[in-house]
Amino acid sequence: MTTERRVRLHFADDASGEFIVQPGQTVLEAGLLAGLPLLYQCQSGSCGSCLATLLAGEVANCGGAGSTLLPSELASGARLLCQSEAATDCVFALSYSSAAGQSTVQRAYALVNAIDAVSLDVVRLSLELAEDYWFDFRPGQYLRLRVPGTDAWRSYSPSSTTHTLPQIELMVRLIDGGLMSSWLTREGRVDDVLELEGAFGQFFLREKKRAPHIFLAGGTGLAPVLAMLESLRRQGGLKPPLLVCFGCRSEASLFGTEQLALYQQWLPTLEVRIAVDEAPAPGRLAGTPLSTLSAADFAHPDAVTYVCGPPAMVDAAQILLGSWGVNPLRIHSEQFAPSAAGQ
Amino acid sequence: MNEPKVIRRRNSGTPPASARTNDSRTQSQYAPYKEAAWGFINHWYPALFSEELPPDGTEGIQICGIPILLRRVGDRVFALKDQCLHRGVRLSAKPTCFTRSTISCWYHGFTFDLETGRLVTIAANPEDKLIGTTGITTYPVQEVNGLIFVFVREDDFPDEDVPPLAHDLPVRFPENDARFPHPLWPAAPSVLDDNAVLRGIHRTGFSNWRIACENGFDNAHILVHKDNTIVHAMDWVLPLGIVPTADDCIAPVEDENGPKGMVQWLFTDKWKPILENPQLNLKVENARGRCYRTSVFLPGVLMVENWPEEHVVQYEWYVPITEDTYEYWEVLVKICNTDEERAAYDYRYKHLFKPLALHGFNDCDLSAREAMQDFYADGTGWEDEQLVSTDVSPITWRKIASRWNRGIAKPGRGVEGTIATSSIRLKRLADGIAPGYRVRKIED
Repeated sequence: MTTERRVRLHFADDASGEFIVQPGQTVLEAGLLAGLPLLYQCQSGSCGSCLATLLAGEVANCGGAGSTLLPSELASGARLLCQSEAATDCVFALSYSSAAGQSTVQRAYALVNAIDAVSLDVVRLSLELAEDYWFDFRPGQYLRLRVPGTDAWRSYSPSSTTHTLPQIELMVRLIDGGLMSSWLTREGRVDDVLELEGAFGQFFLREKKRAPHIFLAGGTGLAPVLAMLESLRRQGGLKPPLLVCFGCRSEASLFGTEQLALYQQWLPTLEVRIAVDEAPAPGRLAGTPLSTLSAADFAHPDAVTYVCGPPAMVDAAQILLGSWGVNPLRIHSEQFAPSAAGQ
Repeated sequence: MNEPKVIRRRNSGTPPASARTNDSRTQSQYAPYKEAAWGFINHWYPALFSEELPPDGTEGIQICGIPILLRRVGDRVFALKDQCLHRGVRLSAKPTCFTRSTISCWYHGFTFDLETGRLVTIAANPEDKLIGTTGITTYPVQEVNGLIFVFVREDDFPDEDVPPLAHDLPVRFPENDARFPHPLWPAAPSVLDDNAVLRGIHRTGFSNWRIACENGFDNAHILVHKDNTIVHAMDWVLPLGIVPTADDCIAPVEDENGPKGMVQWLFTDKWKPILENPQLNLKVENARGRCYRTSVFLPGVLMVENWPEEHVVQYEWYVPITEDTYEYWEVLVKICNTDEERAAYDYRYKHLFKPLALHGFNDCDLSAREAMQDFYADGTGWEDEQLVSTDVSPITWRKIASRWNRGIAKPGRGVEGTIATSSIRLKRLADGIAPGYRVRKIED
């Protein structure tokens, strides 16, 4: 099997999802990477959690090592997605609804290790999971924090990865009159307890790819990008070309530049462009993350782009990249919008 | 509603506040190096001397926590993961080969193609559906001048990305004469050179490989050699230490298509030898100059040019086995173009260099590394060490290694040494067998 195949999965609730399966990839892997809420456990063909019915097409390697399917089950179209490679384009039906596979939300408590201002309007919140709690997430995903003493929840993407658990690091943009902002700047102290839940979102680092990775980050949209860079750094083997375009409104708002410099030291394939909109310092690029780009950055047809920042930036990125003919399936984005003040 | 009990973790792993000489900023620059307890993966390492793998021989070793089997068939050496995919036993413990192109697990007969690692049959279960669908990882091999190198890789590291062996060996001469002049000694041979004769030993050291590696090119460590027999028998001027006098005392080597590492400008005006310390009443009184130059390259190979005599070079590898054992390789290389030269060198190696240099002199290094191990074993040593100006060498190496390694080896999975106190390890210890590099064969 040498070509990519298109696979469609129908959930029991009429929801469906379509994605590409690469050669050598199982349908389950590809579906999960595409962000579909699939049920699975052992991934080795024995537990049966990923059972699906093949409606059209052919799969290879079906019923390989340790498959628990009976011949009669196979004859009726039953397949284990973790053991199935797509030999042709395929369509499957799933017996469960798309809600069932939404990974269970984890709830945890964490203690404040530090609250540090890292720029004029960004605070780094360092947390440590409390005894008996754990919290799993993919690099780029977000979690929700309850503002202490309220019923209000706020969403933040860790800039750390699971490698540093039980420590979790968040970048919080301070907003005038914001609930969490007020708590962080006025009340929050080391050892305070915070409640969190998650992880959420389909904005996470996709599988190992050789194609260039382009990250566009505005403001605290850098946080999930830092987590993805850390994850890439930890991957073995030759690294793909990496480009990070990061921008803030003013020099005073910039943060994370030392960390980006470290990643440039550690990742020889990483290029970083930092832009500031208002009154950039000498030698700094003027403008936004998008204004540092040119169509040539997307010359590789398989380049993967991750966009994270204010809604206006994400929208503008879609339009700009679209005008350059970038395949929208290879653009992953997450909008960081402030919660309305006082809510 | 019951309020959950929320308390601090008893064992938080919170890094200690840092106010060290090598401050947190410097430390963070080589953070990846500190993670590499099990070594750097996706690199070429020496595995065995050719003579240790006779025709049809099979040996098992472990590098970076990966069990590796080596088998010689005809003029080929094959390397495969030495862990049956069925129940994980080491194939090399009782080598069983029913055909020239395969090796079978001695336990249940799972049979693997030596070239591809594919599961081609199962002796007692030839119809099983698993056959043909799976296999074990293979490792590229290169045998040169009596040394077998293996490219130790992650399971998904593609063949087409495997770099040439020369990218994981020190820079060569004379092609680098202009870049790294050596007016005081002749060009150092490479293990890859024609007519290079390699003589040396390897043995297991009981410390982390990084501690061992840094010892080799740390210019203050030569104090441990002050009293060595060879130094005085040869009347060598071996300084108490050598201190940097210039910012560019070390030349990083980071060419796009070549080895990554660093060369130290020893015996130039960028380094100053310390020959006496009046306060301690120490003075080097020997008469004969003994110039040399140390360099280190990924994945951790030392080159000592002009050592232990002219026209000879000493290479050392510190091959990670587990996080607290490494295989220490000491290899002397000399070009011998005639049988007479070779015989003379062999004699000198056997009766002078092996006993007095590789053992007498370097045994001191082995002890020094083991003496450091407790300080670093639990990870705190990397935070607590207080480095001084001569430590520009290890710090530069740590930064270069952090940038150019091809992957940080993950802790071994299901292999010797992942559980330090496993019953089998303790039993072997009680039987007088220390943890080591090679697989012990099962006697019939």
